[in-house]
Amino acid sequence: MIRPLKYSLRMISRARGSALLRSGAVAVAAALTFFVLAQSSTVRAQAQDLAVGGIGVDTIERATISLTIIAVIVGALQVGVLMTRVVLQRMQEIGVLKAAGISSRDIFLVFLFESLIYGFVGGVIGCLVGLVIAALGPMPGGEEILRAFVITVALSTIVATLAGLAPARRAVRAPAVEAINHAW
Amino acid sequence: MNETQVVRGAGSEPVVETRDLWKLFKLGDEVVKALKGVTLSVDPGELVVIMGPSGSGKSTMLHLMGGLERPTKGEIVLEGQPLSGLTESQLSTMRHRAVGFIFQSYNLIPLLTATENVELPLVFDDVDTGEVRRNCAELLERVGLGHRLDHTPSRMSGGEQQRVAIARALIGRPRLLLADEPTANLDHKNGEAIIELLTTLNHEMGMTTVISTHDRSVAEHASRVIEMRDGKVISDSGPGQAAADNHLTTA
Repeated sequence: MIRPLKYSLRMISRARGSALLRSGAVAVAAALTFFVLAQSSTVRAQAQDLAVGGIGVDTIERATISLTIIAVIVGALQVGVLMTRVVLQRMQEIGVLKAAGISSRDIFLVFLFESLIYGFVGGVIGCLVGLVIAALGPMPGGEEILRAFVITVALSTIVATLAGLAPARRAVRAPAVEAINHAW
Repeated sequence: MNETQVVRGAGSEPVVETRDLWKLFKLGDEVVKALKGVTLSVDPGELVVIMGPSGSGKSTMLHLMGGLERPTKGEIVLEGQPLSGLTESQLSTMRHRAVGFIFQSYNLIPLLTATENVELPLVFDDVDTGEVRRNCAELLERVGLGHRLDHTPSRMSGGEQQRVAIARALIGRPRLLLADEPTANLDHKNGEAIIELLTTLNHEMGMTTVISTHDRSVAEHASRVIEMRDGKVISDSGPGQAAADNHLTTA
């Protein structure tokens, strides 16, 4: 497990600009998630105020949850699309790895780990961005920030990894000879 | 990982043998007969050139010999091990230990340095990284690229990239080197240099080598030339001679 992970880290660090963009895409969804989570108690407090005016607390809470779910889905789709592109771009590399007798398991793990790393890094960046945005308004409590941070990063990592399963499987399924001759 | 049962024979056992090998592909509605019953064997230390026009089946021959593809019919015996009974995972292990591939498009990883490209086949193995790196440097020196250890492919010519690919194919100390049209993307001069390198390695290391090509001038360097057309062998200048001759011919 360690070797594929090291390899993934190396490939991501070399990709620099592209890696940053991919993390950024995830970060956008993560930022929204963080923001919504961090503001939840503020929103609830305001909701109670608004409840007097006719909009139920439930409605606000449902809206909050819906936003979070949408952000998560968007993030998952982004990782899925991005990693599919990554796998296609690196088909020749996959072909070489197969020709060299690298196990399917290791190739699978390489790409799965990359999805995981993007999810994690994107999650962290997103939280920081979300924190900056949250600071523009009423600042939520430290505990709430921490909770939002942990949930967002965990969610981001898990969702990205799940979204990365299909592209990783695709990398493994590609027949070696076709992969080697693949022109991008 | 499953360990393939490799039967190591006596010194004179062929490195790779094919028996009535057939390979059919489906291309849309048509069936392409890439190989139509090829039987041959390659002895240790031989340098074999398989010549033929495109579509003759020479590349398919190499892929099958190296266990990169499965035949439709027939048998391949690599290092005494019949490949038909092996699972994909066992085939992969076999390739890992016994075969080195070189392709016409070099297939180096653009973001990695020459050294990192050469060590690639071993990068997932439980091996001492330091020692592997040293071996990489040694091999790169051997192929004439000692000054390019930390260069990425973008800073190298096609000929140099192919040399890196050759070093990469050798890092795992394979028993069989398979070069599929290694000079197809190179000009004549660089192509010559690559063939010379392969010939030198064959002589110095006793590396059993099979080269596929459509270029007649490549065949001039070989002690054994197999001509293929339409999936069949139409001539074979003969096994056996090569291994002995290698030590007498000048590179």
